Amino acid sequence: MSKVYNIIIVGSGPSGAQAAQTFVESGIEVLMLDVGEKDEKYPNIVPNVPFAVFRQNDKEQYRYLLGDEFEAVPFDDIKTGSQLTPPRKHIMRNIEKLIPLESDTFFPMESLAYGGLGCGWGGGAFVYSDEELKKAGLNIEKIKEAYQVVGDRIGISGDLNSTKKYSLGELKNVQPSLKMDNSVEKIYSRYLKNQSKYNQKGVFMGPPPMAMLSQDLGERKKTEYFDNDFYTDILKQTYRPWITINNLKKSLNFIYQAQRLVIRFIEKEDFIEVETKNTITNEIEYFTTKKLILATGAPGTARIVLRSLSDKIQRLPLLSNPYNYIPCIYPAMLGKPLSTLKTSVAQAVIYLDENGRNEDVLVSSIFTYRSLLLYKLIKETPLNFSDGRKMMQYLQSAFVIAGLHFPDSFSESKYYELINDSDSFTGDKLKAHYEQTEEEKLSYKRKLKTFKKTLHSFNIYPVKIINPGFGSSIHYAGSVPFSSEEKPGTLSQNGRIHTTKNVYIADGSGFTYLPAKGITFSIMANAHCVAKEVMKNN
Amino acid sequence: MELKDEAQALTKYLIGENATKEVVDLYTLALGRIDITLSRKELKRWDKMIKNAFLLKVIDSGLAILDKCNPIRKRIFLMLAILEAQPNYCTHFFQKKRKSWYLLNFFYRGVVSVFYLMIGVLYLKLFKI
Ligand SMILES: Cc1cc2nc3c(=O)[nH]c(=O)nc-3n(C[C@H](O)[C@H](O)[C@H](O)COP(=O)(O)OP(=O)(O)OC[C@H]3O[C@@H](n4cnc5c(N)ncnc54)[C@H](O)[C@@H]3O)c2cc1C
Repeated sequence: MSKVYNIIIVGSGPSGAQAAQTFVESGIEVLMLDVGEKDEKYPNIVPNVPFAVFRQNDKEQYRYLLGDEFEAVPFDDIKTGSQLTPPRKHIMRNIEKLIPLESDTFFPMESLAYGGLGCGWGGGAFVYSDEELKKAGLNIEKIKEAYQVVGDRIGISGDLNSTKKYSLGELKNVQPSLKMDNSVEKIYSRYLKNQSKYNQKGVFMGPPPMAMLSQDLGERKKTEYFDNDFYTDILKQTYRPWITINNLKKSLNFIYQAQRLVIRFIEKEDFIEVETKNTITNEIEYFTTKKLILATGAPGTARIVLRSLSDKIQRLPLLSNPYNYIPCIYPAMLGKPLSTLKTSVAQAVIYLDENGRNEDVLVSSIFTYRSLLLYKLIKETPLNFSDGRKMMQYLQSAFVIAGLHFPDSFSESKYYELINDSDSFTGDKLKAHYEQTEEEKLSYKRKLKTFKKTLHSFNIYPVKIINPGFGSSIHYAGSVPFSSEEKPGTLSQNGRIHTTKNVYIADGSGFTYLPAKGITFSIMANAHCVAKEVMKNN
Repeated sequence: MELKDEAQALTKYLIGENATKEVVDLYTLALGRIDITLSRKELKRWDKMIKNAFLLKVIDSGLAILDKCNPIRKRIFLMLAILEAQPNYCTHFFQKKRKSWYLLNFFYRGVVSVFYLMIGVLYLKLFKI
């Protein structure tokens, strides 16, 4: 028999990285299996100077702005993943080939990258409220402790004042919030002037809670507001899971093995065989472990679980926040240029807490637009490109984009299944179905209307509601939900898959409810808790 | 029609300048890498558009309403992307500080643009491309 590892973790995304760090720091040997796609082309060609400066100097800029193969020029309609720039395109490399998904209703973004979707995440790091934690099936006390551990590792900046209860809760060691640009600063000052009126209506606004540094932290540098966040990680100002994995690789008790697509697990009496397929040679290879931790992201985990437990379950549920982009005009900025120095990520967050209970809160990140380039906006106008350019050049700084997330709950009409596909790399394909119930549709419409009114109250005027389709929020959970009953296809509170003895899930698959706040900080906190539970049971 | 002429005409149309050698080369490279094939009918139309700036604007306007993803639009869009990623031309895409009376100019442009849309739609309906 091949070597028996103590722990195998599958996946190097935020959940895999945090679980691995917890094990490795406790002296436990870990093998991480991953596909591990990397950006080999662009990381060293993006200059670390302000966006407006390199645009006027660098002759090579078309390479990282459009791509060597012009792969980032979006000729078709906006869909999940359209926003990725050339240095981020590797996030979705080989997805269709290695982990195909079929659906008419659900269009997720998945990743096989070194660092997973975390290679491109916007850094929005929210702490769930107690009510949300309870609905998500998470242990309130343990997760709160874990938020602090993970927060200290990854570095969090944000607001500890007015919106604290929606953003960072009781988190400590928080760095000062990032500076807003002049456009959102204006909107925010209107909010501050009329704060009590807004709050009475359940509207709260503040700087975003971010895993982006406003002060140096170890090897990582604070943001310099160069507005190049979608192109480079040169300062490591935003937390990326590969930063953790790169550091873990220096430990003797951590081994990282790329190019291994995990197909299924087979649980034997006191060990687990992990079947993998080499993504270069196509060879099947087995790894043996005492405990297996799946951290492959909720859709990826659904695949592995459906294959491994096919005799017990054929369908798994899914959760994903419905999402809309709302491009708006903010007339107060017409003819006024945006701050030269700014981050490219969310400038502020608006929370709509209609019932005042801090659950089912609507969350909208507020962005301004520059570094994703004007030509993409011009394409969205119903004008010829020549006039479109002139008009959008004028409107650009007055553009505010609200990225609006809605909470999500289970229903019979949201699920994953595995279907045969002899042509695919794994001989199968994940099929997804996502349909809102009538009640959800009504609530969605009503909330959207209320949110539009809220924007009006800030003197921001929506131009269009863009619905890129379900799955486009890039927040996924709930495929193997927590349950107190020992039912197949569910998780025990400590993250173990019911009906298995030693297979655990560290990503968001266990969550039984998906608040509209970004899920990733909670996924990482949960991964830390799962690792601790596994060590406790060892 | 040579790609050089195409690049020239599009640059003039989009930003009112002459195309540099870099832009011509990049446009040629891009068309070698991305498949934006025009049908025979579209090619004939395209040749006319490249020779006639007015027609270029009219047809682009019409397609913006009737067939946004038409290969002709894709070619113009590709050039727009290339121009924005050029150090000598990127300022045509940068925001500018404007006086408030510029709003009048903006509305004037809007009206003219809608006028082109109408002729464009009419043209495309009449000549059915
Ligand atoms: C552009 C963008 C912006 C985002 N912004 C935010 C934000 O602001 N806030 C927020 O909270 N979230 C955000 N997200 C979402 C966030 O990135 C994800 O929630 C998070 O990465 C999920 O972590 P994970 O570890 O569960 O899975 P993933 O990040 O999906 O990682 C999965 C890992 O598993 C590996 N893997 C998958 N299948 C297999 C297999 N069969 N065998 C071997 N390895 C496998 C992959 O290689 C990868 O390393 C954003 C995402 C994107 C792309």
